[in-house]
Amino acid sequence: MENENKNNISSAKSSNEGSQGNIVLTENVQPIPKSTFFFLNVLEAIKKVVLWVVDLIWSIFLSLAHFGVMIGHGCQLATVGTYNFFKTKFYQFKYNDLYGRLSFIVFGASSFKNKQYVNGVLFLLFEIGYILFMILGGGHNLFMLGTLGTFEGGSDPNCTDMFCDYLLPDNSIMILIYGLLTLISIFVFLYIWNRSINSGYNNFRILHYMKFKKIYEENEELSMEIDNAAKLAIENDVSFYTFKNENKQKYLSFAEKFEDYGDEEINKIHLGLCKIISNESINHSYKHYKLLNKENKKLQKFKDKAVEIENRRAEQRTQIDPNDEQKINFFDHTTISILARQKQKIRKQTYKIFEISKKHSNYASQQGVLNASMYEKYNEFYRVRQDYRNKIVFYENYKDICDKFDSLKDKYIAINEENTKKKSDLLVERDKKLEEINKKYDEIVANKNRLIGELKALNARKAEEIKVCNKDPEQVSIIEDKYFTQISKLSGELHGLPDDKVIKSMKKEELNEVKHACKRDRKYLKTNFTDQTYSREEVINYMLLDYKFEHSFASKIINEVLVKEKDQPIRHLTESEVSAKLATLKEELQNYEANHQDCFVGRPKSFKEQVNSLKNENFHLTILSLPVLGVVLFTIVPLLFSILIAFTNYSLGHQPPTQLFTWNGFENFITLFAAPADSVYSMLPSALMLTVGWTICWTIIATFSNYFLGIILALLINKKGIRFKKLWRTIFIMTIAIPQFITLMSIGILLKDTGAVGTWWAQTFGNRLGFGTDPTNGALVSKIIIILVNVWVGIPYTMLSTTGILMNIPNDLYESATVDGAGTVTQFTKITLPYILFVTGPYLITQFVGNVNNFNVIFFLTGGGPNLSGTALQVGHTDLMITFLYKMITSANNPQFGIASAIGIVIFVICAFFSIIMYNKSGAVQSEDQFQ
Amino acid sequence: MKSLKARRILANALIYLLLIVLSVIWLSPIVWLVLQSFAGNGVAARAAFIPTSWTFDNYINLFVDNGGAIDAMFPTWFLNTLIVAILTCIISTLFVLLTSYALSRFRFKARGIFMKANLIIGMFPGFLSMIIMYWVMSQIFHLQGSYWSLVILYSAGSGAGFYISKGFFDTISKSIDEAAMIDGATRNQIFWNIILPLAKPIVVYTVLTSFMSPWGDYITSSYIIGLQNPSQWTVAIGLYQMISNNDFIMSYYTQFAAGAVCVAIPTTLLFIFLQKYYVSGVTGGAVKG
Repeated sequence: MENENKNNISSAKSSNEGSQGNIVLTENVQPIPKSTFFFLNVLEAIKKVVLWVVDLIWSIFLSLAHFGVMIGHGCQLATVGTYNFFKTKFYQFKYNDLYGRLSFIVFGASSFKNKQYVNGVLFLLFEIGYILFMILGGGHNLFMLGTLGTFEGGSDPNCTDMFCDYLLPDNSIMILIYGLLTLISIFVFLYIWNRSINSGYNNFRILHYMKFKKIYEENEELSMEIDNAAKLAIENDVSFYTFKNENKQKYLSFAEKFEDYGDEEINKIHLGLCKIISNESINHSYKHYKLLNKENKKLQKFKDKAVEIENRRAEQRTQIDPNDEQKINFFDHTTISILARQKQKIRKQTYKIFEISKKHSNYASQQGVLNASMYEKYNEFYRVRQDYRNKIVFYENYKDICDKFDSLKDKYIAINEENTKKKSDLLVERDKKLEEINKKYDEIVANKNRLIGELKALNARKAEEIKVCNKDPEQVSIIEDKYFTQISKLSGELHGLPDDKVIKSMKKEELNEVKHACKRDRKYLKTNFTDQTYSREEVINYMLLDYKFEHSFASKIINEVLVKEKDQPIRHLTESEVSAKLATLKEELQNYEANHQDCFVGRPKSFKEQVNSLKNENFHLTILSLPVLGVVLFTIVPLLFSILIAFTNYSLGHQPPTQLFTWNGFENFITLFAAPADSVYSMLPSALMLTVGWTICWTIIATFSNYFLGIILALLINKKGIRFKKLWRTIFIMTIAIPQFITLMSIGILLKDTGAVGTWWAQTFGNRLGFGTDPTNGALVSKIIIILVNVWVGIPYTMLSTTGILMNIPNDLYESATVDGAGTVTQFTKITLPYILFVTGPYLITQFVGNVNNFNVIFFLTGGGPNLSGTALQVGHTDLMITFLYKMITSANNPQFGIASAIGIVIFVICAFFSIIMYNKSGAVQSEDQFQ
Repeated sequence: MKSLKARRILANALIYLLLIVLSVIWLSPIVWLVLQSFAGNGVAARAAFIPTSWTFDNYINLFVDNGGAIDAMFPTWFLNTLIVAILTCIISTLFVLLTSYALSRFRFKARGIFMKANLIIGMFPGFLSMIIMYWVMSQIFHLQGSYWSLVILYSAGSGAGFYISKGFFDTISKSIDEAAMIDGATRNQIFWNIILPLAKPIVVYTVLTSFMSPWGDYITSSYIIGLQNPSQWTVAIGLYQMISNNDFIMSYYTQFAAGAVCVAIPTTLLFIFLQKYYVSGVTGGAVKG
């Protein structure tokens, strides 16, 4: 049927072109010979392969460039970071009080001053402890790190008689461990030092908050000016440095304008802040508009493309025979779906730009908010004064509020009734909506059933007609043609409808939504108001709106003054009482303000509050501390060690605890890549190249074979109409359930020459299979078998993790593809695969790294064999770098720890390189927050 | 020209056939191993697909001391491994869940650095650090040969494996947290009382995987525990020794098969009963990668 379809269309095309009077066409009506088709296909395939290879090479170069840029960027970041760190420290020293400066040397000095005694004691104890540690052993540890031990063992040099004990030499590896730990402890010390200074500085800021606040408020106008300037600068492509220099002057003049506060210290603070603000404000605005500009350009590109597509499609449409209704319908449908996709992109981009510009405000106001949240909440004076002021406002408007309260007294009955009625209305409305939804979906199902019925009837009629004409081929093809349009139209429509499962779930979702909405609305309609509760709520709302009180204050004061006890009649205060209260309040406020000349009583967090915050806003510190400590101490630090070992001669003849080892620079790497021909390791470079080649080859094949075959398996199991899905899945999960070392060892035994398969092979084909043992014939066979076994091991993982993704592919993609006439294979390559690749990019990278380091499969199957002939090294044809390295470490008669660590570094470089390539290619480089 | 329906039936039949063939391939090594464990003819049994004589003695011999070097050691190994696996499982499940929750819900300064550093660290071959850990365990902690050293090694760094569970936590809507916070719950309460019950699949998944990795690990345990004292071995070391050591393979080959079946049974049962959670954990978490 498909063939027929294609012929139809192609003939339609040619006749159509002919009618337009094109020149070449008349010859084209003849069918093209099959061989030409084949030739064209081959050409096409070759073209694709060449393009792919070129693309790959290009992306490798791109990745290299990317790698270089990343390293450069890292260096730049590190330098800028260090520079900024010390600059900040300098400012923190310059603009600080005495205790703050003191805490540069004595940790926690300013904590003591601010009555944070526990913090202060902890800081101080740490400092004393650390200094003691450095004196007692740390300094020695660092000193020893330079040589890794000097005493070579032997009898005690201080002992003069002949009965001395033999002393072991210095243990180089323990020296290395202790030395590195001491080195790391210096960083910890620096961190705590920084914390101590920061806490002091923050306390200082809290104390002098009012002064800072003033500056920020004054800066607001200027900041807006800078913001506008940045916008202009971006539009005119002005570079950052020009822009910065132009605007720097504005701030300096601003600083001079407010030069004198009458106090030396405040003047200094002011100047320092102006400098900081000028710098950061300029950066902030410029960065924002640059980002916005970039996104806007992207949006414009999308829009241009949409217009281009529209024009192109319109042009193509004119070339179609206007009488061929079916084809025009097809064409319109695809146009719409393509445009819809483009429009969706535009919509997303617009939303992104909207979000960015919504988040933006100028630097000064942003800092104002930040400062308010950071420092203002500690301001007790501010809080107490506001409290007094609110109370005064309340009593000034006391009569008003009481009147309001009384006027609402009798309304509660009406409100209760109204709410009851509304509630029942809501129920009725809900039932109506539910019915509508049911009806809607019934209609859809009915429509679908009708289509199916029609299709069946048509097919039956066709079959009957074919039967009548006795299957005469000519007649049959005429009948086929006759019914083709109708059938394909109907089946197209049928394809456009969602399938039963989707309909069911959509219906359920809509029903649930309506039900939930109704429940939620009903919950907020109270019907049990009493006169007091009703008036109370209403008055609180009124106060919130009219007097801008906070909710907590409003409800508190209503409870205190008006509704003292529940269900008791309210006694209003007389006018004289109110005025007396007002007078006392005003007096108190005056007293308070007079007593606090400084206008600010800052109070940093108490120790108890700090501990409590560990359960709440700082919960991540609590829960991350142990795991991160574990990762640092047992993963990162050991890795640093193994990197360091690559630069030592730790090997046979240099093994602690009976021998010393020491630093030897890059000697291990030289041995690894270019060992001199006369040395013991002359075979090492060639063996390494062999393993590197096989490792790369293995990794690529293993990763992609597992990946694609796993996806295919998932597709097979999840195909519509396949039953016992759970059973199939369970069977494949068995590989995950049984520990790998068991399955791999037993497969290893099975395949060896002594095993069942090996024996069977020898009996049937007369020669050895040589899996893992025969160096002449078995090498290639072993490699192939290992890859196959790895497929056996790895497919189930991919199958499981892609199943969820397959279910998430938007269905409309497939529908539009079906309308376009795409077959199953095309759908797979054009929709399924790109989608999965897009989503699972990161997963693919971890798989890749996992396969480079895939120890189990090689070790348990062949142990690296068959061994290379003619070398003293214990390296085999199927050895990956990782097993090669393992053999070097565990070898009893020739352990090479230094060279093994060097190989580890090479593995890292390979992994990093390929990861970057795949990272660039996968396209899943996107902000993670988009998913949430 | 066949009708659509016939084509579909044919396609489905082909798929069924393919799935059956694949299932046979997937199960055959396992079935073969089980058959081997009942073989009566010792090491010669490995040359045939189906053993020529049958016996149950292999299983009994695992527990009976006949005077061989590693006779009746299997129960000790099994117990060692079980203790290590259970302790590791508890600690690392906690670590992984806590880490991934923190990384999913909190935005703090070091978050990006931690996640990037973790990616980079993952590219170094992990067991290079075994050289150092051997010395640390024996010289600093004095735990050489003890299974506590294994527990520390397996679980301490486990926080790094947060990817899948973080992906799962990301799929749980943040508005649930926000609603609870408005109601006055602390972050601590939110995690234990609200998020964890919702994250049941990923909890089960994490428990399963963190039980499996010590259960089937060979390299770390063999390097840290060493081969000197068979009573300290784990099952992986013991079973590997049974067939790789030339002194043992002749007499212990069928015992190896029986032991392997015994080791595989608990995990297989766990997987079959908890399959539902495992699958939804993987699929839920891996979507984000």
